[in-house]
Amino acid sequence: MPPRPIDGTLLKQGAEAHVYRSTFLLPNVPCLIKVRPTKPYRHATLDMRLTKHRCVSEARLLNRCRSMGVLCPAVYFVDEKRGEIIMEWIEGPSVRDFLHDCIDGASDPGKEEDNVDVRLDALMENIGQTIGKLHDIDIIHGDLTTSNLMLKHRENSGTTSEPQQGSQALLTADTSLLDFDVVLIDFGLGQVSNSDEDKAVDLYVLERAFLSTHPRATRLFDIILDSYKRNCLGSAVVLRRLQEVRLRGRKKSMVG
Amino acid sequence: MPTTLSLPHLPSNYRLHIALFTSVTNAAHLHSQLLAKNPEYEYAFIDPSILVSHLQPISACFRAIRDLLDPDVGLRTPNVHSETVFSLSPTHNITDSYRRFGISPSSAAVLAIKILDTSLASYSESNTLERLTSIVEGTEVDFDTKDIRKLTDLIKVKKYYKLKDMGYVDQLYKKKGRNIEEKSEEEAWRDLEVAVLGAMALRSLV
Repeated sequence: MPPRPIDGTLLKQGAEAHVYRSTFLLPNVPCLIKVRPTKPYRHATLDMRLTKHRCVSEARLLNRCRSMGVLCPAVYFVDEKRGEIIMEWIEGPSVRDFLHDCIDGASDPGKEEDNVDVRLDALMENIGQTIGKLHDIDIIHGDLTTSNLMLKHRENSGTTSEPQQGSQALLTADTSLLDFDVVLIDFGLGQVSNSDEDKAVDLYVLERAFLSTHPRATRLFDIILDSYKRNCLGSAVVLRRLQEVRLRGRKKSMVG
Repeated sequence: MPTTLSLPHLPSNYRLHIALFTSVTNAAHLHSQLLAKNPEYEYAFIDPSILVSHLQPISACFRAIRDLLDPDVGLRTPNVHSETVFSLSPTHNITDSYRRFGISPSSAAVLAIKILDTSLASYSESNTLERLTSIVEGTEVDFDTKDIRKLTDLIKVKKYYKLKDMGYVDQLYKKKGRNIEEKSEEEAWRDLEVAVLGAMALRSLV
């Protein structure tokens, strides 16, 4: 498949895909284009099959999630032969950026630390709830990290007249975190599964990501687990399994 | 006034002319001309009751033009206009898609779309617009989401786009006795819109 130039601004370039910001159909509909470029070192047929397969599975998961009621970008258009997905643009900082700013902000002498803590707790509660929902519809994200969780301002909250941007806006005193939704992005490694093992591993991956990036994370992650426990219908079995996973690591079968 | 658009990610010489009509009186005539394959009547005539937003028909045009220009894909129906109607469908059944998303002899409202390559010598914007507004006998209304939603038949939309799983988690939680915030009307429409766009986008993957 010949590569086609994408009309948009390149935002990120990973090992698997390039991500562009652009518009879909009308100038007032912002979108994100995720392209999986061909890898010249791979056999052409294999490359096409892999690209197509990953693109298709990601698009299906996004669509399933969104229509069943878990927040994630909506799929606007798929060109599986070229490995392109056009999806909804999510405006807002990632939880990772937000946490960094929060922790930096908290070390400022001018800021009240308690205030930040209350907000962080609310955010963690929200994350736990979102992951619980995701697992209740039997979807495994596969790569739960704080960069793959975004914060989106709720459109009809009515308190702010102009949309606020960036994580600094979230830290301002009059913004309550309750006006924000947690949106899951990047289902490139996702799958549909109802096994407790897969769900536990999903949580374990998030735990590792959390503990390695944020110094105060243990307490925060406990809030996530607590919220998950209360909100996810099948949480008891999954959390029990999580104990086992913690002892032995992510790979159960020890193959590969 | 008909809406004229050219779409991002497509060659700029492709242009869409779109007009929405209510109280249509000649749907039977239009339908018979389509069946007779009269080239004078080569338009995408869409039944607006299956539309939930103005993005939906434009997205169908986008898919149709992309398939037209892509040598590896190509059209699966006779022309780009019939392909537009077919592109509204979440399944591969062409006959069904015409019947469900195209007009019927009894349609009282019609969305007409003409897709043209403006680089052709025969293209004339004023002629096209004049023909577009006169081919359907009815009252022209604005082509925007507000007017389209007045015509939407939600039962048909949910059936044709197989949306029975929509909002599944919230319903599940409600059944378990949890308090679920009711969505505002605007949010509910937005959810429906993205569910429909998603179903159309995923057609090729079915």
